[in-house]
Amino acid sequence: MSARRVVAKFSTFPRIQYSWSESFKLLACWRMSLSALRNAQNSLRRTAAGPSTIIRLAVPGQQRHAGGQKQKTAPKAKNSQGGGQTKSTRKKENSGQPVFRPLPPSQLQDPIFQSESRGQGLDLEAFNPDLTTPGHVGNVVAFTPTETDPIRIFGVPKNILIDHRIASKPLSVIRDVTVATIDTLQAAAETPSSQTRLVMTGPTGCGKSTVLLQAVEYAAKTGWLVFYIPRAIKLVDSSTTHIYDLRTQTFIQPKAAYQLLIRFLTVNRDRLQNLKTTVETPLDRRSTVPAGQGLVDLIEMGLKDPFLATTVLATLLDELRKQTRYPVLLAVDDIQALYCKTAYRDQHFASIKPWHLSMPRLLLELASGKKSFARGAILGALSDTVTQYKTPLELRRALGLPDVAPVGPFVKTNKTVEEYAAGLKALPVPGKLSLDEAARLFEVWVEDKAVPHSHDVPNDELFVSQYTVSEGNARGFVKGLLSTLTI
Amino acid sequence: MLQVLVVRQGCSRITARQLPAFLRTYASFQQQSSFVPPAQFEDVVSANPNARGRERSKKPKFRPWDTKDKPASPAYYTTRPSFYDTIVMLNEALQAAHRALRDCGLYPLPPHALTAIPEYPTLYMNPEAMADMLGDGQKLTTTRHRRIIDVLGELHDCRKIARAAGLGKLEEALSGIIAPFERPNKEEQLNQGKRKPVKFDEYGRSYTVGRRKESSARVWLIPTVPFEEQIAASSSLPPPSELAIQESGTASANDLPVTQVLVNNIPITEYFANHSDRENIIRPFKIAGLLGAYNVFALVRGGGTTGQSGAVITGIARGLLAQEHRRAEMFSEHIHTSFIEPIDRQLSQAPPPLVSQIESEVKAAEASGMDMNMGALGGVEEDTQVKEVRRLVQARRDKEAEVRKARQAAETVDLVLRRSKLTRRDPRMVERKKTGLRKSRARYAWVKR
Repeated sequence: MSARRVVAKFSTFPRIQYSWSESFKLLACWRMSLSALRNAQNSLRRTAAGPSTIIRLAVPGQQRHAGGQKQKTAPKAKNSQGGGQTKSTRKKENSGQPVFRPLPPSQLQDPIFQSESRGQGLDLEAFNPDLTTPGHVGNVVAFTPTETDPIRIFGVPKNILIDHRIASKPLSVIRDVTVATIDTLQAAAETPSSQTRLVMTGPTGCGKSTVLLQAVEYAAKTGWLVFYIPRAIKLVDSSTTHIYDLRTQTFIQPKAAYQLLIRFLTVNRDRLQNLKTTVETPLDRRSTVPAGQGLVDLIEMGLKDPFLATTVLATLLDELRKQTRYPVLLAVDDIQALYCKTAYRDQHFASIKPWHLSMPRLLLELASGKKSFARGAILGALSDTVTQYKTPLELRRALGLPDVAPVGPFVKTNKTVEEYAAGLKALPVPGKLSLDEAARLFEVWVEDKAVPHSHDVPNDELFVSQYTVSEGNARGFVKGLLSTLTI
Repeated sequence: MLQVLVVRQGCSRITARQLPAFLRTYASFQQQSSFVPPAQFEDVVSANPNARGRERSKKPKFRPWDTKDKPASPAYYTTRPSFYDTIVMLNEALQAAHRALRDCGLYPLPPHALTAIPEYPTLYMNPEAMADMLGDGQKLTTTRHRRIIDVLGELHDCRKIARAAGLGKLEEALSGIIAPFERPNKEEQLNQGKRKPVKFDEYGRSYTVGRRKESSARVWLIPTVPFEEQIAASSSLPPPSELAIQESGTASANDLPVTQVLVNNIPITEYFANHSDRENIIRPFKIAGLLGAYNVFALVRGGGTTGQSGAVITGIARGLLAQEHRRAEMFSEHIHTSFIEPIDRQLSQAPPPLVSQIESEVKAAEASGMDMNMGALGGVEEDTQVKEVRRLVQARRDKEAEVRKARQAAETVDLVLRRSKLTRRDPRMVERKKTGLRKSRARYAWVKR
């Protein structure tokens, strides 16, 4: 690596000219051992490293360079940006606004921080399926991600990532709608997925993504096979490469498929051990998958050669659709992005339709009911935060949502989009947190010293005033508590 | 009106002084002849009381001109009878008032007492209106108007003293005399500069206006729980000391009222994008400690976001003042009608000296901080009537204390909101641009040449 390239890579840092020997030394420092990395992570009081770090470490070294990318192992664990994102996009993320990250108590030595009285952290129940009964509505539970937890491996949407950093543990409150969703999932476990295709709807900031995450966690803990795509926008915003494939006559997204495969394998490995392929499928001109091969082996074949990932993923899904041993949950956040105009361009600079891209197509086929898991459900959640991917009219109509803009009879709608949106049902998430739920969350944050306040203890007035100002909206309430100047 | 004295003696003798001038005789008058034309006498008894027979039974001759339309007062012969009558009447009333106050030892008052009397402003009619009222058909000159006003002023001073001293009947009587001369729109004119009382509708919603910069807001405040319900709930509650402490774990916060604010029929989360604007809007509630007590509906026009929020804030603060005063009033009224008046009725049946004795005992006990439950100290036996009176007196004092507390709460809210300057219309406006300056204060760049 030349000195010039080192400087160019670290263009955001102050410009330091490295010599050849110094750059080698730096490289050596960067490549830390696994144990050292884990120690660094523990000292930062994070429960575990993020998904991309885990995957980077799990995959052998040479595969990391498959895309011809320079490997940048961070000296300390950088937080993940969630699923669907590859290393090529990390530069883009780092150049933007830093994501909120609280300092660990070990770095807060001044007595004003009261670090010594923080204790062992919050004493909260861990999320488990038994806590999703009506009697537990209003309880605050903590997500304690294990090694193969979907939160850690698949990642979470960006706003939830920030929410999880408010307190010392990722928190969530059980709401009525949580109980309703999980009841639906329980019923859907025995039915084909084409019968349970739900999309969380509601005003901005009401908690759709959180409810979806709770459903994903529930499924992972109750023997479902879980596909979770926290940021579907990443599949359509041209952040991964796309290559035209003559066989399928679609644009394949090998990197996105690869990422999904590896994460799915990590989360569901135990259950996949018990599943086998039923038919012989050709992967490429090079190889075929015989019938009776374990699905784990199939996936690992795809991981060895990233360009096979798309085909492997398609084969995997076909097999999963046939099997009846485990119900399969496909959860997609930002699902409206799959129905919008993508940022991908073909050789004529025309916008590529989402159903012409391999990843969105897979999801759309399942979401529309054209293909169905023998047992399972499809859950989605709308999102208003990214305005480039707003919910299109066809999807709004299919879900029965009211029009945001006046629409007359001359507005053109796309028939294919309507086809792919047909049969989706809306699951409305209430716009307001009830006072009980908000109060419980507030209590827990106060216990964890996560709420800025001017009195000895954050008082009822702070709670009620923030609840009033936000009208019970979850995001408004949280943001208000953290950003208020009138404490 | 002449008063003719008749001396009941052997002869009817009238002293010379009582006779009209033209009838007065001179030194040469022969007192023996006592003839006086009969027409000059009124109500005269017979010249000879000892006469008998036909003379005695004689009735005075009926003279028709005696009963013709005699003027009620001699002012009839003046050009402004009503005016003169008024002056005489007012002066007589003033003398009577002075006599009454002197009897009470309140007139004349020393200067320090006069300055201590509370203000009692009043406005009298102007000359045109007074002329109309008097009905003389003549214009009332300034001098004559001033004469009336001067006497009225002195009567009003007596009224002030009577009011300060608590002499209700005298005050009433004086008001009866002065009132016809006061301006009909007296209240309106006296309260001209002051803030008008806030209007309430039949549902207890206050309507106030607030302004800031170029924005103006019309604000309606509605209690989340109607006052009638609050009063009923408070009267049905046992005193706090008797309430059992509820387990906090089972309490639900979902039933607590929450303030909702609609501006131009849009919730504040959507209408005001700035978090600080939204927080400022609920600041009056926070300061008064009334979060969740009222809902707000506001119509705003003009200006920008922060100006509109400032206008709404002023409207809310003024509405809160009015609502809290009204609540205290309603509460005190309810306590008076439901508790204090029945107690008073019962107490009126007891002998007043006993009642006043027990009242003073209770007052003394409260002042010295003794617990009233230790009332029967030293094992003194009390009969049931005394016990009953004591209980009633205590109950009345408790209720009066409640009313006082409610009024104090309203006063506290008043004080706090006024001190916070939220009821005040922020006078800061955009300063005009001046000639020779680039903006209101900024000058053009200085150039050397």
